[in-house]
Amino acid sequence: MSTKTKRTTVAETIRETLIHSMKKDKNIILFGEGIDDGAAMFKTTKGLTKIFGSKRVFEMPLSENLFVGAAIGASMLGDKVIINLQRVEFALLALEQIINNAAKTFYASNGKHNVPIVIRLVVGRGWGQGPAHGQSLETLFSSIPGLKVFMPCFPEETKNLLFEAINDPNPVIFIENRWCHYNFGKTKKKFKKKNPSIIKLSSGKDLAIVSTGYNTSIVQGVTKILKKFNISVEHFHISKLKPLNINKLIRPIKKIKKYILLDNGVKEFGFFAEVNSLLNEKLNGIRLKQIRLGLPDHPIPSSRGLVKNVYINGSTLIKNCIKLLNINKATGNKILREYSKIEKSSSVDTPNENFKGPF
Amino acid sequence: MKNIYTKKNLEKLYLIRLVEEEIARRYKKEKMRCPVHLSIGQESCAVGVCSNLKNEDIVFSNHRSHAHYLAKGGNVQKMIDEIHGNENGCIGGRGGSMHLQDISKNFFASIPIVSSSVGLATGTAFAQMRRKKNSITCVFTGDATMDEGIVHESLNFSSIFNLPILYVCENNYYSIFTHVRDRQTSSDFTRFARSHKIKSARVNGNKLDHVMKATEKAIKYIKKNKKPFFLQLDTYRFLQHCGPSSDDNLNYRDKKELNYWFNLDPIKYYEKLLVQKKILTLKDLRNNKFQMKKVIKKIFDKSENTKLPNPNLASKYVYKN
Repeated sequence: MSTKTKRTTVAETIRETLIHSMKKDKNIILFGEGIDDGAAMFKTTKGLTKIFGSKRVFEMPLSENLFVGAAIGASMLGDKVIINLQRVEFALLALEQIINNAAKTFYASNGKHNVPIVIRLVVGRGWGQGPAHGQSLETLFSSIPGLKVFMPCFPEETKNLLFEAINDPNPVIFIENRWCHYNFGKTKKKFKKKNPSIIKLSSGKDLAIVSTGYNTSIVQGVTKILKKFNISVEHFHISKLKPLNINKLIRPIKKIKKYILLDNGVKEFGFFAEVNSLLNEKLNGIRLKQIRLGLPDHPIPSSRGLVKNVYINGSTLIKNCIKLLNINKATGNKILREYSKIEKSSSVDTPNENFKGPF
Repeated sequence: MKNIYTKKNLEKLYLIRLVEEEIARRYKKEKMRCPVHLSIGQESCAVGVCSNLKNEDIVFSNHRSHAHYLAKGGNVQKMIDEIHGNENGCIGGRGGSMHLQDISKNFFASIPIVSSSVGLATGTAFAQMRRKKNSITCVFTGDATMDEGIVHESLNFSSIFNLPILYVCENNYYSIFTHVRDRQTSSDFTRFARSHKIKSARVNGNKLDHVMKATEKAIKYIKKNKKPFFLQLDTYRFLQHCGPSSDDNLNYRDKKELNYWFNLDPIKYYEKLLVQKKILTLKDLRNNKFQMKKVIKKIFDKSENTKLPNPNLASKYVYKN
């Protein structure tokens, strides 16, 4: 391995990016929930108070709406605040400040006050997270003009996106899928301020798949298996959801004509409903075969029995690929059998075999 | 002690009253097409507080922001242009009457969603503390704001973190039509300050001299102790909650209560003091008003005769590059 790259996890890379950015810019402060405790926001903020002092990195009273508002106010005097919220659902207590002020201050000050804040939100999954710890609400935030929404999956991507978010003069909702924290990968030393909205992860001619968040990891597993059966997938991962720019998808989908879209959250009114609508508007007149997948229209249950069919797993995705590509039953079953070798039964509930909960 | 009885203060009161009367008078022309929440009857709260603030002190307001804006020195033409939806408005016609701001005067924002600006004010006070500035933040709230959760979150936070912030609660007793007695266990909101270990005072907001004395003390306390202060000003809205007219034909306000406050018009109260102290004569007062009316009329005429902004500007300033 070269000295310029190293293998690391998403969680570690978040911590490194925070340290790197805060060392460079004294105006950056970090506050919110669970920063300075033993768990240190899944170790992403571990030791930061020690490095930067309790005036720059500190725990807040549990007053989400107030501290998001305070972050916006502080940014009017030149601070850049990174806010930690342990789960997306805690941000719901601060929607008033996020939507009324963070998203609109630049507009409603006629361009005089911008709001350079980053709101880190974690989407829980598995180990019984249940109705109030597992919602992936990227669609909600993406529907608000003035907000930016980033949702990374891999270490290098996370590092650069977080760096970009911190340096962005606008409010950024930075959504971390809890299970992505464990994703391993190589990262480079350099931090990039400008990153693509969409990353192409594999090239193919039979089928296009577009995904976000943790689903991207699942698609990668499926793509590998399909390749063994000579089915090539053009796989795109959207890292920046808002402002939305799908230009990169138009040409490949126009060519391949068959595609699957995977929502990280609920399918109905989901993020990919918008993406698909744009695709169909731009490719008007072209016969497209399309499938849109996502979570069902009910809250996420806690029991690992009940949650079994809630998330899109690899098998569900493969079944939909078989359907879209008209693959015969015998080959289809072979693919599914092959996939079952890599899909662990525990994966409905935990991100990996070493995971022991509770969060 | 600051001089409390001055012509300058009276002129501020006049300016606010006359500008708002002109809004009310011209509203039916339908050129000011946005909700307006007039401060008539409450002007002394804004003037009393703001006359104690320095330019570098930051102010946040709410839906009823005209008096605060003018008292902090906000540009009158830009305010009237904003209400008319003109490009030259203080925020280019993006907000209307409820979103007044003049950043050159550190009048940072008016947010019409009740209590919403309290969060922002806490943030600027936090940044002032962090940067060891000598300036303070002042946020104008009302009795209805006290019903909202973020106020209590903010009081707690500013007390723990020793923020240089002045909470002003203009208690006009009504959340639109609902009297404070139907919403709260008491109309004494200093009880919230006390429970968060914040120093407080409660005075009659229609008596400018009282407001000025209380504010001066409050600001001295904030700067000396690096701690927040909560100032309750009891006052009364003379017109309807929103719009240019009276709504007392609806009979939602008690006659006794109405009479008490209508007899305590903050401008008449202060005029009387100045005449008694021989600072001004009745003739001076009339002259003064007459001159101001002429200037204000011109400002309105100019706004009315300005072309509306180009619709293409509507999509500007969503994201900063």
